[in-house]
Formats: sequence, C-alpha cells, structure tokens
Amino acid sequence: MKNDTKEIGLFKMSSFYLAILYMFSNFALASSPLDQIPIQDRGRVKPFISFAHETLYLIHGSKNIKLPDSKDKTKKVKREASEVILTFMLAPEQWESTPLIRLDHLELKKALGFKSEDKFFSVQDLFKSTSLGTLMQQMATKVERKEKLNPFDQAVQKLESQLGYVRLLQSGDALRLVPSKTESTWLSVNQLEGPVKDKFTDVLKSLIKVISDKMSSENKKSEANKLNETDLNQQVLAFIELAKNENPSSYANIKTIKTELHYSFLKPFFWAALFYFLAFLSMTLFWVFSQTKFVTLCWSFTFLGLGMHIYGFILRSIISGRAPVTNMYETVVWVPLGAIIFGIGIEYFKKNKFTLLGANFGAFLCLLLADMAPAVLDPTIQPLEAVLRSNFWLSTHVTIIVISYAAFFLAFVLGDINLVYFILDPKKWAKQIRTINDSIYRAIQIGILLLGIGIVLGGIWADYSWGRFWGWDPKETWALIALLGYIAVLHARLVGWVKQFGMSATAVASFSLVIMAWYGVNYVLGAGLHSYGFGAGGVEYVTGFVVIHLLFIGMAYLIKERKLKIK
Amino acid sequence: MKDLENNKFLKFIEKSFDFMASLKLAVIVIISLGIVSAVGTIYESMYDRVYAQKLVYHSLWMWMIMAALAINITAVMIDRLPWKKHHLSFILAHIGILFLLAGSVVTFISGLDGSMVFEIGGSNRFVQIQEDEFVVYTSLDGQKYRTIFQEKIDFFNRDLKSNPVKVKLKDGDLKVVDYINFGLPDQKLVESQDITESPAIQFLIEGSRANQSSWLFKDKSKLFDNFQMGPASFTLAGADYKRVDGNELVFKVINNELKYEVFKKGQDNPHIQGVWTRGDVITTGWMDFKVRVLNFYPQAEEKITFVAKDLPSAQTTTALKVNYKGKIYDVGHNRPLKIFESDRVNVVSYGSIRYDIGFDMQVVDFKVGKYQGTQRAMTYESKVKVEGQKDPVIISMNEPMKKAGLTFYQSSFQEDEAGNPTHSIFSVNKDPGRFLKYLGSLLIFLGIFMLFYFKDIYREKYKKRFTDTGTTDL
Repeated sequence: MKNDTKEIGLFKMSSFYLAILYMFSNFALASSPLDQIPIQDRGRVKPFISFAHETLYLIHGSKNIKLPDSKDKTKKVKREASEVILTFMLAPEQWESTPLIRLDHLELKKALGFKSEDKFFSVQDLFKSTSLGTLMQQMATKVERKEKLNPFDQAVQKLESQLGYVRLLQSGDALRLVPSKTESTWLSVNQLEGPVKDKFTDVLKSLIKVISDKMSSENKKSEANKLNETDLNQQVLAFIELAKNENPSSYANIKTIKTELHYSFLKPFFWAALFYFLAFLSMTLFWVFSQTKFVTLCWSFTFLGLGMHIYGFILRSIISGRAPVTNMYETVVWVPLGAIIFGIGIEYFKKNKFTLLGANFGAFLCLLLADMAPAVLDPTIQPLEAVLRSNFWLSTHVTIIVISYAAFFLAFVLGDINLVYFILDPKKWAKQIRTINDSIYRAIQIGILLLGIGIVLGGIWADYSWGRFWGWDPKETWALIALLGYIAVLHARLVGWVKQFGMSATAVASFSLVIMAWYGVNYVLGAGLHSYGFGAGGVEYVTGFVVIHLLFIGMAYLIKERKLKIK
Repeated sequence: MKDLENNKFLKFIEKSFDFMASLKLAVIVIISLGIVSAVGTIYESMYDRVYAQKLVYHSLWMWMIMAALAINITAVMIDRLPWKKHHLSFILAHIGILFLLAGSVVTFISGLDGSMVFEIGGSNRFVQIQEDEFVVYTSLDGQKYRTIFQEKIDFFNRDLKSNPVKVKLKDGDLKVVDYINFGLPDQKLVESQDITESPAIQFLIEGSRANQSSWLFKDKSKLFDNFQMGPASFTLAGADYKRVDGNELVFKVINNELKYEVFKKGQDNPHIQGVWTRGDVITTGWMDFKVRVLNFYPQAEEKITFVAKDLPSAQTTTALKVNYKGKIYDVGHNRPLKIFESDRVNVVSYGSIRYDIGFDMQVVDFKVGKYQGTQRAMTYESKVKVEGQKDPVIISMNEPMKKAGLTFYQSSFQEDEAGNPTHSIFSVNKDPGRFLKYLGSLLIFLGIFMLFYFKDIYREKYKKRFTDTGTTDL
C-alpha cells in the first residue's frame, strides 16, 4: 500500500465489490409491498416483514414457506412471508389442515402419538391427539409452581405458543396495525372502524388479486399482474397514511422502519462473513504462491468485511435504539468484529501475516455460526428487561467483556494454527511458531486488560443498581474464572511451566473457560441474575467442540514430543 | 551448636518465605480460586444461591485461598524490595488486589445487605438481612412477651451434636436437634393444649351423590367456618353465629361438647339436634346425606411439619427440628412455633435478623411501565415518604435513594393474579468497603495497563532463557 498504483488498485477493487453489493441489495428489495406496514408486536413496532419472518419462524421453523402449486400438487412453490401471514386471516379453515407446525422434540412427538420422522403437523392433527390437553395442563402447573422446566416442558411450552400464534393470526388479533388514540396497545385489524377498516379491506382485496395472479398465471410478469402489484402498493401506502393519522405521535418512525427493511434485506453480517472468507482465502493463496498481491487482496477484503460488519451494527443500533450487545446472537456477531480489529492491530505491528489469516478465519466461522443456528442464537430484535435499561453501564461493561472474548478468540484461533505446526514439524517451523506465539501473547494481554476492566465495570454497575459490588453471580464468577485462567497462564509462563508449546496449547485450552462464561452459564447452568440472556440448545455441539480441541491438544503434544525425540 | 540451630531455623524461615513469595504458589492459588469458584457456580445451578454461598463462597476453603493469595502477594512485594521504577506496574496491580481483598473483608464484616418489603401504601422500618437469629419469648398471659433467649446462629455451619443449642424453659429443656436446608411445609390440624377457643372437626359426607371428607376449623378470629356442597352447607359455629336460610348442618362447641342442629330450607328451627358421641351418624334429611364426624378437637391448632427435600423449590424453606420433653416440633424459617407449658406459652422463632433503620418509610405509590402492547415490565418506581422529610422521593431502577449511610435500591415487586402490583421490594445496603474496592480496582487497572509499556519484570532474572515473550523452548 506504499505506492500509488496499489492504492488505485485497492480503490478499483473496493468500488467493484461495492457495486456488486448494491446490485444484490436492490435485487433483494424487490419483494412484497406489504413488507413495509408498521406493526406492533412483542413489545416494539417493526415492519410487517420482520413480524412475518419471526412468526413464521416460530410456527414453521423457517422464514419462508413452500406451498403446493395450485396446478401440480406435487410441486412446491415458495411464497412471500408477508403475504402468507395475511392469508391466515383470509382463509383460516385452509390452514387448519395444512401441515404447518414444526415439532422437533422426539419425546413430545411420541407423547402426542406422532411418527418421529414427521416434522410438520397441522392444527387438526394436534387437536386430534388426546394427550395434548394433559401435557399443556402439566406444564402450566409447573409454571405456576415456579418449578424448573426441563427440555420436554420447554417443548410443550413452545408448541403452546405456536398454536397460540396460529390462532391469533387466524382471528387477526395478532395484527396490531393501527395505533390506538388512547392506549399504548395498538388496535388489531378486527378492532378497526371507519375509513381505516375500509382501507384495510381494500388492501386485502388487492392482495387476493396479487396472490391469485401468482398462483395461476404462467407469465408472472404480465401487464395485468404488474398493475395489480402497483395497486396493492398504493393501497398499502394509503393504509399506512390513514393508520398514522389515527395517532401520529405513537405511530412508527417510518425512517426506522425503512432502516429495518434495509437491514433485513441487505443481511450485512452475511456479506461481512463472505468478505472475511475471501480475505482468509487470499492469505492462504499468499502462503501457497508467495505473491504479495494476495496480501493486498487480503487486506482489502478484510476492510470490506469490517466496513460491512460495522455498518450492520450501526443499522441494528438505529433499529433497537441501544448498543447491540444484549443477547447471545449479538455477542456472537460482536466477537468477530473485535477479533478482526485486534487482528488488524497486531498484524500491523508484527507483520507476520498469520494474525490476519487467523482473525479472518475465526471471524468467518463466528458469523457463519450466528447465521446458521437461529434456533439457538435468536437474531430477532427484542425489547430489554427493565434492569438492563440503564444504557450507559450496560453498553460499557458487556461490550468490553465481550470484546475481551474477541481477543481470547483470536489467541485461540492462532493457537490452533500453531498446534498444526507442532504436528507437522516443530523444529522446521520453530520460527513461525515463535512469531505466532508472539501474537497469541499480545492477544491474551489485550484480553486480560479488557476482561479485567469489564469485570470491574460490571461490579460498579451492580453496585450502582443493586448495591452489591460482587455477588458471586454465575455470569460474573465465570468471567472471573476465565480471567484467572489466563492470568495463571501468564504467571506459569514466568516460572517456565508454560513454554512455546504450552503457550499455544493454553491459548486453545483456556478458551474453554471463555466458552463456559460466554455460552455455558446461560445455556448449561441456567442460574443467576443474568437470566435475560438464557436460552437452550446446542449444548452437545459446544461440548463436542471443546472436547475435540482438548483431544487435539493432547494429540499435538504426543506427536510433537515424538518428533523432537527423533531428531 | 546454637549458631547451627539458628542457621537451620533461619534457613527454614528463608525457604518458607521463598515459597510464600513464589510464582509457583501464585499459580497454584490462582488455579484453586478458579476451581473453587467453578464448583460454587455448579452448586448454585443445582441448588440455590444461598446454599452455594454457604457451602462454597463463604466457606473456610474460600477464606483459606484468599488468605494464601494475600500472603503470596505481600511476600512477593517484600521480596522485590527495594522497588525500582520498572516495578511500578507490578506493584500497582498487586497492591490493587490487596485493597480489593481488604475491601471485601470490610464489607463482609461490617457491611449490611438486606431487603425491605413494602405493601403498596404501607410503612416499614425494618431491613431483613440474610443472617438468622434464634429467639425464644415467653408469656404468662398470652399478651405480654418477654425474651428469654436470643442469639445469632449460623445453623448451616453449626454441628448441633457437639455444639447444641439449648434453652431452659420452665418445665423442661428445649433443644434444637436438626437443621433442614430444603423443607417442604406440610400443614395439619392437631389437638392443642392451649385454651384457644378454636375447635376443629373432620367429618365425612356420604350419600348417592357424595363421598367426601372435610375439615372445619373455627379459629379464635373467626365467627364460624363453613363448607359448601351444592345447596347444602356445613358450619362450625361460634356463640354469635347468625344463620342464613338454607339446608344446613350447624356444629357448636359448648363446654367441650359437640352439639349439632340440622335445618331444612325455609325453616327457622332445627328438625334434628343432639350432642355428638363417637360413632354417631347424622342423617340430614336432605339430599340423602349421612354425616359422620371422624375427629373432634375442642381445642385445635395448625401444625406445620417440614419434609426434607433434596432440591429446593419455590415452596421450600430452611427449618429447624426442636425437641421439647421428648416431642419433636418443626420451626420454619420466619414461622414461629408456640409451645405451651403449665402456666405459660413460649414462642420459638427462627428467622432473619431485622435491623431497625431508625426511621419510618412509606411507599405511597408504585408505578410499572410496560413495553407497548405487552405485559413485560419496562420500568418501575416507588414514590416513598420518609419520616422527617417533607417531599416524597422517587426510587426507581438504577436510581437509588441514600439516607443515614444506607442506600435503598428498587429491586423488584410482587403482583396479584390480575397483574396489579401489591408489594414493592427494595434492597438496602451499607458498604463501608466500597472505597477500598474502588481504589483497588483502579490500581489493578492502572497496573495492568502499564504492563503494556514496561517489559517483563522477570526478564533481567532469566535474561538468557527468555525472548520478548517467554522461553524459546519448544
């Protein structure tokens, strides 16, 4: 990047990729006009498409739904989520018999008398089952007694909310589209009166035309169809205007709604993941072909990814009106951002080219994970618990702690790379091993500093809002245990208990403590004051991940010892 | 000879000092602290917070590790004397830890951490803290009580066999024999020796449409106790009971005898009446019911026993079992027990220590803000009137009130089934260790931060073996 030609090249490249990006985002925006209608749901106002995605995901386990084609019943056609959600109200009977509700819990399926290989069940199927009522009653009793719910109870609870949402969609009660003049709860579509009600009927009429076009005509782009689409769009806009006039002060900020639409179609974190992967690939090519142009390419992809990543966070903050580090999903997206920033920083000083490779690889995996497991890592934007609403302290202590995990994560990825070198040939790669360990050491230092600060700030926050600096709450205790783990490594290094192999091995092993503090407390222990982040799922995979890495360390140690003895 | 011994002694001192100041001890202490803390979180997840604290965080083990940590840090700092400029970061970070530990000890010893529950609209001046006391009161007339035993006792850590808790009552000794961590309360009516004017009966209704037994318990505060079965009514009545028209079986206790009267709808006088003796069957004459009295206690009281469970639940509480004259009684946490003697009544109480804050407080209003269109709480706040203060104060989440060295935090609230708030709960704290803890945190922060600029303090010592970041050995 020292001479001009390189900079021009970088500029060209960036504009090229941004152009691709722009094209894709426009392509994605061409969807249903219904998407933009503001709706009040689960404690906040959001665009209809978010509601449709979240609700469909809850009921069907997917953001989209494929329905049998009207002509060829064996074929299935993908339908727009927003339109599908409205048809629940238009044709409620039809949905009763459609296998729609997704059930994954095997024991629950057995208890209901279903086949374990079936995934989707209709409302009718479920109500035919004689044990449904009993199971729900048992679960309700447990909830009333405040007993801990086991996974089976949680599955029953989920089924109950799935059925509940189907009912609310069929009756129209879930569709709160118009602000009330007197109360904070919006009016659902069947509470509407006067011109707003008429306009909503117009919207539905236009929608029926559009849907029947899509179901019947071969030529989807015919003039008549386009006219119907335009008509629906106009009806929707007119409806939004009327709804807003009901109570302009409590209606949605259209700009925020547009931002959320933009966010949900652009998928900035997906793009960031892609760029990080390309950056990782470029650096790998550099190691294979030793051509410096690949390094430049890697840097530019890294910055593209970083830009997209930050842009995504800005959008999410605008939508939710708070720092976006409040649940598991957001932290899993936040950590790779930190890893990339630390990676860039350490790479800039050390210039070993491994740090950037590791950072990009790790960031890519993290973002991929966030995208792949929406059942465990819920990407929807939810309102905050009352205790968390002191924004400044929340943002600082959580953000800093999670960013320290990013530094440890970077050390972990680099440690893994180093272990591979130990397995290949510790003597031949001694120099590489040492440079990577330098980066690991720096990353751990950064992590310790940030985690220490974060824990203390957490203490100050707890003191400020609960009057307790330290209360041995599992979340804070595990953060401390992770900190102690890394501090122990640094002290052991000074005694000589941890050497080159030890540095890499402990960077990998100690990350298990971070995983426990980060994921395990919420998903395995499930106790304590930090209960707002609690969730379920994925335990077997995460445990597997940890165990495999510990075995990997053991294997690397044995191979390294043998190789050192032979030579 | 003496010199040699002295030498040996000095060598031993030196050796043990080296060990106390050693990095090896540091690593061991750090790892033990981590392991013990981890065990604590597992206990908390299996049982509950209080149990984990008693078993782990406030246990002797924890104190020993903390002491070892303090000794290790102090020794290593002495070892580095005289301090040089490059020691600054190391000294700041480690002195910081000592301050933090000292602050924690101060908080533990003289801090206050409790809670105050206010009925909305109601007043209170007592903070309940987590420590428990065991108190026995006695009274000759049932009106005025005198404290005859009061002691702060940590039953969890006390071995009741070798170190029993014994209180001398008039007719015999009261001895605490067992402590239950997770006791599930089980309430029963039993015969009482006290002149309580609170009779109880258990009866069985038989007929073609029924086969059911039920208890009636008219305690002193009630005029009657009643059980309804369709249009039929069964009543255990006091002297001033006024009947409403209907099919009714009325029991009355007069001179320790159980009398009964059966009324038909529309009639003012009973068509059947008598004095109950064991084995009697009362045919009511309506709804083909036959009523059998199974148990009759002229004087009754509710007795709670606590069944020990392995795991806590929302209903379990800690409880004591006490032995008085060979009989075992259960005393639940904050649920006093009465023991009657020849001429007096004793109240045995085991519960949270209450601390008088010295002034009255009243929650005059409580507001919950909900997220739009949901029942999820977004904010909540209490409007509080404080004795001696003109204007009411608002205490809300993250906005505490400070007064008389105490800080009052809005911590939670309770609501009834309809979702209306009924009680506001504050956590109340006094933390004299706060300054030390904050100072310690600041020093640690400065120290770690400076570590970035000052190179390794051990470099000079192991110069040959270390590169910038440690040994090069593979």
